[in-house]
Amino acid sequence: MFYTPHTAKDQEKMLARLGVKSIKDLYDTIPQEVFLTDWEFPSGLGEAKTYRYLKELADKNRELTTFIGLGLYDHEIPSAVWALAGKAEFVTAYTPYQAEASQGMLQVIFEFQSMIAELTSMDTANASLYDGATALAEAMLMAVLEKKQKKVAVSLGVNPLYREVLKTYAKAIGIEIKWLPLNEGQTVFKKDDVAAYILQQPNFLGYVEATESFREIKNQTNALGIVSINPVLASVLRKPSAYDADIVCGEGQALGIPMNSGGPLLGFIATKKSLTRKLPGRIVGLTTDRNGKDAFVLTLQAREQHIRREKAGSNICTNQALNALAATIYLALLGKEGLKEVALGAISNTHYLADRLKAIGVKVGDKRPFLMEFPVLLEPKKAHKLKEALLIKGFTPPISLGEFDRNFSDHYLLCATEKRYKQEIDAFVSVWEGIL
Amino acid sequence: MKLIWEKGQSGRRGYIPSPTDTPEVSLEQLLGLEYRKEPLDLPEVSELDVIRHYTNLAHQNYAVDSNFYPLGSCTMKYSPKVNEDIARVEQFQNTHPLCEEGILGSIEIMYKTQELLAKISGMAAVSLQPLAGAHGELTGLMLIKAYQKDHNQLRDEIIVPDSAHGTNPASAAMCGFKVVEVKSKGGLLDPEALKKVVSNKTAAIMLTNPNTLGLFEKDILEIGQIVHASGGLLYYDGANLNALLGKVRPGDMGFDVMHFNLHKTFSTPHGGGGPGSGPVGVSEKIAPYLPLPIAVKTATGFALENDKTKRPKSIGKVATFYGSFGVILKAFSYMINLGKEGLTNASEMAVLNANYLKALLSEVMEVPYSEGTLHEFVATASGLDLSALEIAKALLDYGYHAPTIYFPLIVSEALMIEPTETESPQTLDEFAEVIKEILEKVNYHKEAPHFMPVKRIDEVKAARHPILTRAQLQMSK
Ligand SMILES: Cc1ncc(COP(=O)(O)O)c(C=O)c1O
Repeated sequence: MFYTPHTAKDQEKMLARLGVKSIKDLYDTIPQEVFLTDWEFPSGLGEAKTYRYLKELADKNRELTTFIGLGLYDHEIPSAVWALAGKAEFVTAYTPYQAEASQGMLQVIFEFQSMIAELTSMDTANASLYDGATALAEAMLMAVLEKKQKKVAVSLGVNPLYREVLKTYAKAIGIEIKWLPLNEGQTVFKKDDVAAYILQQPNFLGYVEATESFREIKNQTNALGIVSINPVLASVLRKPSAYDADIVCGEGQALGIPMNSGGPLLGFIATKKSLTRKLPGRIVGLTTDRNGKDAFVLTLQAREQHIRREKAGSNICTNQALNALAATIYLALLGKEGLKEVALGAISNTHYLADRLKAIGVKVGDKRPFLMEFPVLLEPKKAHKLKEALLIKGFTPPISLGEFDRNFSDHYLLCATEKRYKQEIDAFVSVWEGIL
Repeated sequence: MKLIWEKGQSGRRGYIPSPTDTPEVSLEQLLGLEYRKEPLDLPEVSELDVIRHYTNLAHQNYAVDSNFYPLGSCTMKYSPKVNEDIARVEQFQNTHPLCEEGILGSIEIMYKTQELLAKISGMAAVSLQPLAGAHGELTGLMLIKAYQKDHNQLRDEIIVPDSAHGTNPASAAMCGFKVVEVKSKGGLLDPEALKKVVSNKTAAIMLTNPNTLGLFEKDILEIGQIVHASGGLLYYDGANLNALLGKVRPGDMGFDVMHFNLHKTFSTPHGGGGPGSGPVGVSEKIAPYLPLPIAVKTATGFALENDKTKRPKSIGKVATFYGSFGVILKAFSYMINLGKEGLTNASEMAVLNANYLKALLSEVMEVPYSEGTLHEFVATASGLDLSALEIAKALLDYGYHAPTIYFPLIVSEALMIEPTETESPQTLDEFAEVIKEILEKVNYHKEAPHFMPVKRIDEVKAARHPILTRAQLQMSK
């Protein structure tokens, strides 16, 4: 298939205007030695066959009833979210460099920043980052640059997938990570000379951390406090500002974005006013036009790569604007009460699931209050049998945490969002009953 | 201007989550001190309020589907609608990445996308994990760092030409390298100037080819020899790959590491500034360092390889999961839909369009490095009665998105123009006529834009007194 509009006549006319014989002549600066005469690549299928082929591949996926999370969640998505976010005026635009021609997207981002600032209890937020893991890595870099100290302390309660990304960044950049152990499911802080303490709330096991100990360690040291949050659960959890967090970041996929085999996702980051100019990425501000009318524009650009080049704190250029739009619409629809209802529904379902499993003798990890996720202990053999049985019945098997964190071999992670029915949970549990 | 909050009423509801039928947990009891007592300041609006508000905002946005968008370096081509149809298929959308048995089709697509990108680029292996071009750069530089360190090389310098995109030096610095800038000569990298800065400290050179002026670095093979002879590596910024599909491959030009911008070359669209996808391609010797997991072919099908013992040199993970799958899917759809002939045609028409438009505009504007440009060119407004900014704003009034302005930095008053292949010659003719008209009515256009939702915006005020959220707006009043 071709999407180019050029007829043979068009091409002739254009070449004549250029005074060249053939299109090949336009490429004559490419050295002969490497100019391709032929190359191996499949011929085009055209639209209809492309669709059919991809549909066949889609059929190799399975839409399982999802009882897992670990940073990515199967929430309800209102139809209005993508009816709006899918509009071509948003989808086929680029970064709003020309503010007068992009007031729509700029206002959306301003609203997004406002909502994220509210959820994180911070003063300012940026226009988005790639995903939860890279947002946390950017937060770590912010602290390292701010404190001029290449050492950070990270809780082992941080999502192990995020920890892997932090390690990759830290190794390349030369940052030392001190790991803070968990005791009874809760982070143990230790006084240290670090740029930042990094916590996840709730931690990856689903447990709610006691945030007073975070506040205390911050009071005892000069470090910044970074917290990675779940934006849905943030609606019912103590505000990070109340325990002295300086940077709050996280994964926004839960806010109206499909799971999509893992991406694209939505990173967010927010901070206090004093650190605003250290934020990575795009930021939208409100100003006025020359007639004094309100207008939005990309601002504080003196932080960014296109101005500061090698002196920029971050290299981010393209972000996740469309997913930020989806999240903004989601939050507008759910509103003041709806988001808390989602959290409450998910927490109630998860607790019901845990209670049902306990009742049939499963060892449920409940050392700390948990919200939307919790671990269970299983013998590997049983876990294997269970996995097969659950897949046959159309359920996702629990996540084997040992694969990601050796401290948690034999631990399996479960989750039930507000999307699950009681009936589904009962059916899920009855598969366990048959195996254990 | 009204924010979405102002459209509502206390107590009004938009979306009500379906009722849950399990016993309700008491959150205050469960959470104690950890409970959030303060209400959330989120909008209270109906679904229709939301629909109207964002539909109206959509109307205040230029986009490829409504406007010619010749934004240089960004490849704002038309994105086929079939991509969107495919991306909405539920078996793709409703699959959790940590249940491999549920995403076998997705993994097959990842593997096949890796393969196709390798074919297009002539690289030995590809990782889809990086989430945008700049993230691909950072990942590529991490690979270079790991490789050099593994070979006991203490190389801490990255060479970039003065024409480079800002992300190149920013990524290098972020990865802990020193940035060494080399001046271009006649718009191209000068091998003699390069020889002066290359040393046993050089980890790599980062190049875009064609470069940001749209010029093919014709000395690329010699450049490669110089850098390789010194023990350095070649990094290819794939932002401009749209010029070269089916014509020449980065791997053949001697590049060791590169990134693709799937949202540019492969039409996935840009989404108002993302999400993008920035896979990295590498030569054989760098392949062992690629991030994990990576899609592989097995005896029975396809799988995600995540075994560090099998790939001990891997730099590790750079993203939460396996990359922007939804974006990768659209790029894959685009590649198999167009195929060899369609992709080659895309490049050819992109180059033809850019050259044609350059010829038309050269009648009224200077194009300082004009000879031999490929898919884009950079005109200058210096010497004209309107600045690049004023021309950009005037274009908005005529329904055109502006070119990229004031970049690359080596051209003063730069207007960087990339029409892409999906525009017809009529559109280009009309655009050129409009530019001529703008340059004839200088005084009028100095005030542009006249017909946009807002007039020229006070950017200085925005930066000096930042109002970045609704709460700050309320405080400022
Ligand atoms: C030449 C060049 N390199 C790198 C990038 C960065 O890519 P991304 O925006 O996908 O991060 C861009 C984007 O505009 C570019 O034009």
